[in-house]
Amino acid sequence: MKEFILDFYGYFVFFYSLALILSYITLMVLSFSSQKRQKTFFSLPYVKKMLTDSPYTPGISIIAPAYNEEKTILDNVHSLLSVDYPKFEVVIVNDGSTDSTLEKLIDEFELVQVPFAYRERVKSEPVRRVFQSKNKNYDKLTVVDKKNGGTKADASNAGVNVAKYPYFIDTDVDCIIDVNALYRLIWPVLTSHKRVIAVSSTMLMSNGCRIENGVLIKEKVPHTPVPLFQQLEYMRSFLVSKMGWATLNAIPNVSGGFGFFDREIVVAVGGYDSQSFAEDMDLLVRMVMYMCDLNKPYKVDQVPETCCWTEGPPTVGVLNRQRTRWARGLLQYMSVHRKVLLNPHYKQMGMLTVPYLFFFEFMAPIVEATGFVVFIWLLLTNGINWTTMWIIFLMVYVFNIFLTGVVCFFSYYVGASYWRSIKSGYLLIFLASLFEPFFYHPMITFFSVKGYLSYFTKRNFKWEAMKRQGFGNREEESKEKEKTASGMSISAVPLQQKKEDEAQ
Amino acid sequence: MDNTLEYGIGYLSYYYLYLYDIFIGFSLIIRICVLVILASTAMGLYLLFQTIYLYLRKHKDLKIYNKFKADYRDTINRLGNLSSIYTPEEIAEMMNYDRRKPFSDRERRLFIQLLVEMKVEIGEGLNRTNFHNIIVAFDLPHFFERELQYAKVKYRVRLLTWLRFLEESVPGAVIIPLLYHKNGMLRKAAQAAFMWNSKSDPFRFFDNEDFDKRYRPWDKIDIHSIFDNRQCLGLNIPDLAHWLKSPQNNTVKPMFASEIRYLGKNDECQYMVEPFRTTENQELKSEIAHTFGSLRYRESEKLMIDSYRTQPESVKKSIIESVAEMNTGKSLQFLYDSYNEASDFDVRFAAAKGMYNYGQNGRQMFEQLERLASPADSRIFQHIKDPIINHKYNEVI
Repeated sequence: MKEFILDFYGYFVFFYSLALILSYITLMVLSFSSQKRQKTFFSLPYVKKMLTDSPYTPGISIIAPAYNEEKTILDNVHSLLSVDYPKFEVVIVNDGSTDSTLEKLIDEFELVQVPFAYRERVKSEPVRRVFQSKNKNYDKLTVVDKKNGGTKADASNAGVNVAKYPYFIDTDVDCIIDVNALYRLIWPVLTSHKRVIAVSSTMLMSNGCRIENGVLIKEKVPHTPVPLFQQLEYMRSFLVSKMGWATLNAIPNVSGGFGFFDREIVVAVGGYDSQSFAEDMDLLVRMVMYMCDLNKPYKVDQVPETCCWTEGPPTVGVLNRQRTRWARGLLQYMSVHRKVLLNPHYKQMGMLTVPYLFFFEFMAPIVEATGFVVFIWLLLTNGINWTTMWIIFLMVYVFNIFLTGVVCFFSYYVGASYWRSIKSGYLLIFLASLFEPFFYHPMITFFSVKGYLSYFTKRNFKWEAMKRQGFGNREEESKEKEKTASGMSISAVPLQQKKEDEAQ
Repeated sequence: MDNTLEYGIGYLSYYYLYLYDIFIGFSLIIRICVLVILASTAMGLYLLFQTIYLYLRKHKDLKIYNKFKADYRDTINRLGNLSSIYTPEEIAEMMNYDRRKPFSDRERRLFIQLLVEMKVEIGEGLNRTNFHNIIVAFDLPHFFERELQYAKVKYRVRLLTWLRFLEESVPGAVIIPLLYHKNGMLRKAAQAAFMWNSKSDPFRFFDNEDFDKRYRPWDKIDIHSIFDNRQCLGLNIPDLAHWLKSPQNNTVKPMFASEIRYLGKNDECQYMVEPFRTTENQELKSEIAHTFGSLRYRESEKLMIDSYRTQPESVKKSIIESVAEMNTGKSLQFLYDSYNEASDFDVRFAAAKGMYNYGQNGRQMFEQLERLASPADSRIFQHIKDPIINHKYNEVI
């Protein structure tokens, strides 16, 4: 019996891995065809000219919640305001910050309180005041001061209530947005004959990039291990996975860090769920369900170009908290939306996306963790067939390297600039992929399992705010930091700063 | 020779069969693993070569482009900004372009890219004649024709958009075969280019069912720019009102209503009365209402007010905005009633705003309502009045 179970498990793991490999190959092919199509027909100067001249250009609101961001807020808001697009606004939601975030904004941007006719279209904690600038140069800026709601979702909802344009981007205030990002994001909306309800774009780590006054000067790969592994993970996720799913109109998630949404549909489904740990995934699935229920054609698309750079967790501790939360979110998502699973009424979402998420995202950490335990046990009982073990390991490892090669190729194909500095660019990513299966991946698996357990044990889970150090225009400050920083901070670029966990 | 070849093939066959035999002897699991490893390695190598090829191609393109920039940028900039006109021959000489040694197709594509960039850089003050003569000097018109006839679809689509961007044209005969091309993107680009400046029934596509089915928001932007260009060139723009009644074009109809507004076609307003009365399409009705208001078609005011109560909220809002914009002085009571009776926030807001902008009497009524308003409603009035929210910075103290 014991042998039968072990054999069964062994075969299950093998065919599970094989199915995963096959799914990746399919996604690679789909992704490339999608990238090729988008690259061929998008011409930035032409799109810019057309949208600048047209009265039909749809407006876009950029919503960025901020909680205790006094160190970076000014650079970040300047960065958001420097985006190029004919019709946009920036809505900063001060989510009851206890530091001087709001005061700094008021001083810098000459804000005054305005009698804004606030309307609660979607649920959020009460809004205390709305500010706009008396300086014409900042006429695109609106700052909302609200009671702390404890989650980003709640703050984003307040932003949705204030936003005046039909589309909005939900981002984090510390994200650096590409100056032409809005043109790229609106392009799939304008060129689809179906209603595009959400657009995702590639996001990368800003750790390591050269940033001055909140503007990205030079794109670089992170030089510290944790952000570097994450960069690799993000590249795989956006350039292969999401891009591939986009071809099938089956994207599982539009990132909460930088996502573009149709406001009308978001309002119709009640906005973000502030109780959700995966509010971005939850919102998207509800939007898709809404469209399917009303039998309206829809599309969720993905832009291959990098439109946003975000500061990734620089240490294992912060990564642990992030991934534990993500795992809880995934489990909560699976539990709340279980009726979507294998439900043909919800089209690709029901028959493809959610089943895939269940088998390969949700199950993977469990299978891997079990595999690790079984491996240890077999090791102790001398039950391992080493030849088979090595060849299966080699298969997974070689494929992993191949996948990184594909990702690097895609990244270069869509126009990333790492190639100019090979040493610190793709080579570094490639090296990371050699070590990733031994260090980073087991760590992520462990954090995920931990997240699942904490969900089942109903442990009280608090949202944790991060203290940010700020971007590169404070050179002296950052140089000092570099001198005193631990061995991890080897970057010559002043961006690489530590985030501290305020909650702890 | 034959023997050697036979020996060689035999030798290879032997090892092939030998390895195959070993491979077949493995278990299924090992065989699959070996296949995945070999395939990944082979694909990885292929990818490496592709990356190197892409790198070299990009690098070469960049080199050519930078050379063009170094050689021609200043001259193009000067010619584009000058008021005096130069002939293509003079320009070719000025730019040291040897017509006997023409650019390759690849170089021409990059040169066009430079021209696009320069056009953006020079902006409004561009000397169009000189710019066109640069294109002639570099013998690009022939290239345009050849490219549209024989190049890959992606190059053709790109060229068609660039042609419009550069305000250049090609003979209709070159575009006509592309108008019904099986590739949707090329077909749309060709149709847009044809409408751009053709004089021979350029708007025939509006009647096609296909146009309606594959209609995208971008088409609206595209068609607006085409109408705009034709207006600038003094070319005729067809009467658009008849497409509002067409059995097809259900999704496109609102665009025609708004184009009548943007093009200022006042004489077509009378033909929109009937569609306004009969259509079930809410979006179309709203657009027609906006057009009536924007073009000050006073005859429609009574019609809109009479039909107000039977309309959905979105159309009600459009009617209020239209009546307010028309500002005939006769409909203040209508705005007042609309405000008091509306249950929808947006409709109330539009009515209050309409009153505020409805002359002296409207302003008085607005203030009267504001005094009577509940604290929640008074926010609407304050919002409408606030100079900062409404971007009236000259009123900010």
